[in-house]
Amino acid sequence: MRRRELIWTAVWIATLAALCAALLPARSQLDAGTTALVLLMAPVVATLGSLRLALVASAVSAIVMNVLFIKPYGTLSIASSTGITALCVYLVVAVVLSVTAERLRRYIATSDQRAAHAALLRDMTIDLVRQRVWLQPPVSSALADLVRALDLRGATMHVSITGGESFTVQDGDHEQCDDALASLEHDLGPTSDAANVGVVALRRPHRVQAFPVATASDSYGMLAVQHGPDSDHDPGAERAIGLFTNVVALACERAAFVQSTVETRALEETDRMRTRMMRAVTHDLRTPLTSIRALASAIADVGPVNRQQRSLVDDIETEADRLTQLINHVLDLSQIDSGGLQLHLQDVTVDELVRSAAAALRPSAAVEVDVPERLPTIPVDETLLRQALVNLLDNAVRHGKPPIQLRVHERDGRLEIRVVDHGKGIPASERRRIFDPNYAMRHATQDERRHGLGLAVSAGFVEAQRGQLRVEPTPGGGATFVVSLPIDDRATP
Amino acid sequence: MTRILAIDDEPAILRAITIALGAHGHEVRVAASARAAIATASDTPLDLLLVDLGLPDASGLDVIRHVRTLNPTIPILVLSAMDQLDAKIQAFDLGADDYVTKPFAMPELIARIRVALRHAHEAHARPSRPEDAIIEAGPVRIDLASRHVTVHGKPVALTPTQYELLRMFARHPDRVLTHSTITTAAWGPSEQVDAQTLRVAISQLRKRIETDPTDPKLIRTELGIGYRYQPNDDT
Repeated sequence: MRRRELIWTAVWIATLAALCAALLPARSQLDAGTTALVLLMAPVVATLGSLRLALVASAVSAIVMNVLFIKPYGTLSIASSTGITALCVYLVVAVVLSVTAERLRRYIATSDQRAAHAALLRDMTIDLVRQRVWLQPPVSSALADLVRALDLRGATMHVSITGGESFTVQDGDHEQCDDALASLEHDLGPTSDAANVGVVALRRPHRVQAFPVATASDSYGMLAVQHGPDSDHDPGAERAIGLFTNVVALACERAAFVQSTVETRALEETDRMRTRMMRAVTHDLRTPLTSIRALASAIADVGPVNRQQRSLVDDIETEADRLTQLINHVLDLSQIDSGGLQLHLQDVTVDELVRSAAAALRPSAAVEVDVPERLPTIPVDETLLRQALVNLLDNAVRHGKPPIQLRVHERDGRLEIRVVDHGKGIPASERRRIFDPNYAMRHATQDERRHGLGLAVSAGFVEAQRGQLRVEPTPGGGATFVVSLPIDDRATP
Repeated sequence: MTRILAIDDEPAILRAITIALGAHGHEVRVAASARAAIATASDTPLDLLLVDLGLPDASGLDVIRHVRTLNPTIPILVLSAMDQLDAKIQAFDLGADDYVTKPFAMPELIARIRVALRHAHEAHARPSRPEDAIIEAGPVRIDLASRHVTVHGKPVALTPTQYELLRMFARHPDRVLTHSTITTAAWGPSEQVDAQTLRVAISQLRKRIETDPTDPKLIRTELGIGYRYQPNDDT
């Protein structure tokens, strides 16, 4: 018997004795109903101890009522049917009252417990959600609160966030919980992969349960708890632990997201720095190139030069041009790779742009331009698209054979710009790889490398504008590079 | 002999320009900073400026701005690296006449200088005309009083917008005019005109004045910047 029951037993006996002492002098004047009502106070007081005590109190009070207040006094026998009825009614009312009081007491206790759990979870959630990256301190503190609030014997939690924190927190007598998690890891692999197993009851003699720490999409670890004598089989406690692990899992998911955002920002900043550095380096490279080119030109202005000297000057200028083009390609590729291209999209008809690209070729080569009169407008970055076409035309002039043709037409809701040459063409096995700068750098000759980079730049510029670049064989021999761009329905005249 | 001020912080480029332009009969002064350039431009009579935009102590744009206040008509050519499109547009809006992209071919630079000097000379030699005068620029002849326009001697009917566009182009031959300069002049500063509207207007004007509108020779497109009216195809 618990201490509380003992106390209330004493109170009940004292109450019963006091009531009897008060009623006994006037028992001949009292009717059975009045006596029963007054004596009901004793079992009511007993309900504050326990249901068991209340039932005992009801029975004892009924006997006392029969012996002391129902005629003939001092015996268990009852002379009248009224006395029997009063005693039965008393007994029924006392039992119903006891059971109802006990239920009420349980409801109140459960309600208090739920309110306490809710407050605990609310505080934990606030602590965990406020924490941006380092979860171990708030999780450790929250676990200690949980153990205390649910009267657990002990708890151990493993948490592992990919690319982030990995820790174990414990509270109370956690030896059995450590063993339980070690056993789970042994049976199911790493803790974080065990989340799909759901709540696991382990080692019944020790009342240990394991809970996954997981969201719908990711697993972050496991929690093992050892229940105390009162929390075992308590669905409220199990629900609270489940909610706790869910909150921890959400905090882990948030920490992982913050971590990935931080990493993404760092990567973006690295890319920006790389682009800035590439710009600075290429600018610094262009400056001496400008000097070399200008000084080479100036040689002829200093004094008369013979044919051989003129040829050497031409070679210097040509090589300076090649180096300039290579530097430009490397800068362009760097911007494409880092996502640093800034698009200035405008709805245009591409006729002028196409002619401008054809006119930009050096040395000037005859390019047959075929553009229909009525073209839809499409959203493009004129400068980038023009440069893409110049690279393709340059490639055609150097590697193909005339006639070089530049044709524009509309097909299946897309605008196609075709750069056609009649050279030896590109083998089928090479057609996908020629736009890969790595492939160009590994497999080509020095001259081809430069053009390989030009093709990679063209592909990058076109794809940045939602377009596609592909190469097809030209009927009769040669290569046809096709720039295919989506036509914006809104812009079609 | 024309006096040209070349502004660049790269001594080798200045040396090459001095030799090459000297060989073509120009007297070349050099400045390696914006401060030196402004000092020279303030106390020396000059016929043309070559300005690099990336100077050590200030932007070449500052030099252009300052020189334009001293001398509104002197031709200014910008020497620019390829990736400075915004700076180029600013330079034109400040009154630059042309630009040459680095690394440049010397013959191209010399040709551009020749065009700029000729245009400046023609503008200078032309007496100031009253509002009823006539503009002639290549095949185009505009009678400002009657708003009568002929191309290769044949009368051409233009809408008011086309007329304003052509009048502005003819007044500024061989000069790159930015989108914003053109739209402000033709539609007024309060009108918001997008690039596509301007493009359509230019396309319509080309149909009226170009021999082959699909391959325009008079109104050239400077992609990303604006247009250049080129009455004499000699660059």
